[in-house]
Amino acid sequence: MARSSLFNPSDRRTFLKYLSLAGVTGLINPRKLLAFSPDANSRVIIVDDTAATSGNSINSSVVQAMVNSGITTLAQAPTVSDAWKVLLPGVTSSSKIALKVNCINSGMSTHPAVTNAVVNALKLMTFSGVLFPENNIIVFDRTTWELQSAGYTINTSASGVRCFGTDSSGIGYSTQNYAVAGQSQRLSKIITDTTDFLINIAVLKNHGGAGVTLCLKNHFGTCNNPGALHGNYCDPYAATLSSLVPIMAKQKVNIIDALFGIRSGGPSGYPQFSANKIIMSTDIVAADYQGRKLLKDNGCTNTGDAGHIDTAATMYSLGTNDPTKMDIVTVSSPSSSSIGGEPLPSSLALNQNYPNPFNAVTHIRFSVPRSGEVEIDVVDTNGRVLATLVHGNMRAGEHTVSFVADQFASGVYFYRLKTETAFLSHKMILLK
Amino acid sequence: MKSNVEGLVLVCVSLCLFIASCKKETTTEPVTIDALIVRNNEIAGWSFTGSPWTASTVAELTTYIDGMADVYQRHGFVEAVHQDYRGTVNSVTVQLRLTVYDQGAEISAAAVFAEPALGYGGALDWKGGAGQAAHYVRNGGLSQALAFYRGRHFVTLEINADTDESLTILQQFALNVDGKIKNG
Repeated sequence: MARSSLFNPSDRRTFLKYLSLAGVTGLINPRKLLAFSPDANSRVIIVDDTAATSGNSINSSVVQAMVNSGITTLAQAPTVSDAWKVLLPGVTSSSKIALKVNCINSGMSTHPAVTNAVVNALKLMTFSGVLFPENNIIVFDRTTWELQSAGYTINTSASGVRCFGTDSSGIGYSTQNYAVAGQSQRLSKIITDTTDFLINIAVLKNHGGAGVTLCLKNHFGTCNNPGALHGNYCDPYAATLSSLVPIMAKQKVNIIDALFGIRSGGPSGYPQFSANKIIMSTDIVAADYQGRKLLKDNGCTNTGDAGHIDTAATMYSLGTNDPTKMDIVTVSSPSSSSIGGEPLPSSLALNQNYPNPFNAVTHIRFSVPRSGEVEIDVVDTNGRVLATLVHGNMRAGEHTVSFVADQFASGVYFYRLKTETAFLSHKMILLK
Repeated sequence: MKSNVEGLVLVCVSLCLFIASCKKETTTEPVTIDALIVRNNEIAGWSFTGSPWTASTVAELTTYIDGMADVYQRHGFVEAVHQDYRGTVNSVTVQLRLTVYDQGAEISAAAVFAEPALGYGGALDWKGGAGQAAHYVRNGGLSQALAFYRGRHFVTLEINADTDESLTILQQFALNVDGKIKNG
């Protein structure tokens, strides 16, 4: 009889036996199912652009380029849409994606410019030509008050990107209690009940109690009684909290908004230095390790208190705190070498419109390899020009225009792209 | 004769009682911590903004300042009040934050003032300034922070600007609050 294993079961009963054993193992120690692979290096992207800030002001377009380039570099994917599908395995157009920001200090919270850049990047995901629904994106923190104080616009409606606190009506905390190193905590229902994926967006600050407050500590804003978790420099509490299955199973990307930093007196206070960086990793420990290093490099003197980062690695296998096991990729000044953080296109291209067929709005994406005069128009089957969507000088890069056809009848139409040297066209179908 | 003396004594006692009942009670109400903050537009060009808060327990304070509440708790925290302001510095709109802490005793407020965790390492002394001791830090063109204590009260001020004018504004706020504490 052939030796059976989970991957080559000799019979159905044996297969089920192995499967049940795996399940029991997961129940006893779920972290073993979710822990990062110690055999592969953790990829950490550090995007750097001195044009990101000027004094206390933030350049949103530069930040957008930083986020887009960081995401594509992290996922090693050609486009932002492709990158998210790598970083969020199994994501669909109906998935809910929550962004946990840190707004407890309105003087220096996760900056709305960074969060908006991540949101804009998520909105670039397409599924069969349809853009990811923005209402499936939820920006959240502990309280609505904190979000508003930090400059976020609250939205609990059925349209647009949503943004609200766990204290919003109908949300609250889980009924289930979770053990966090001897302390009982309940988690935000935004994580336990509402979302499929979690993106952690922390901000670069030192912390009088924890040494630093980065991605691991960001989840103190996810539980109902964080005050009970501040003993012993928040160690092991910050690590234990982040190891809870509802968080670990859904959290896929860890981002540190390091445009500015607080090196002392944190987490309170206004920005004390400009770092002009955004750090990204799928490894929460590696991200925090680099954030801690950045704080120390900028004069923070109590980073040694941040043992919770090392505990997260050694006790909970949440990631690596060994710099030799990190692949650090630095992306410098993406705003000056690309458009939106993505590399410049090598040739003229006119993509198929999406959605197609459509009613009554459709989007047309096109690429120009160099700046120049571009015209895009819409014609009927007789060649009669019905609308001019673009007519002028366009920068090199990818662009998207929309065509609103509510005054036209159902039927076949063509959109045409013309430059000084080229002509491209596609057919589209309006179906009312 | 005896009845005349008794009658006189009775009249005097009655008169005294009557006079005493007419005297108004003059008790002084303690100044509440809310009264110590700079009022809206009390300093020309600086108005309230954001959401103020008060905390009368460590749990409440943790809600607003996270783990830093431990620092104040270690030194006898009683209550605190916070207010944000908006104004202009060098023609730029900026924000200023004021927090007044009641630490229960002068020795406790002095201990908080000296706490390294509050981020005033390397701070410059503001000699002859507000309070019994005051110091401030300047953060590379981005922000400034000033702190002082007087009696049981510890006060912090922060502004998201770093110029000589913004420092003057911080000091103006500090002197305003210090005056209220002294008079309270």
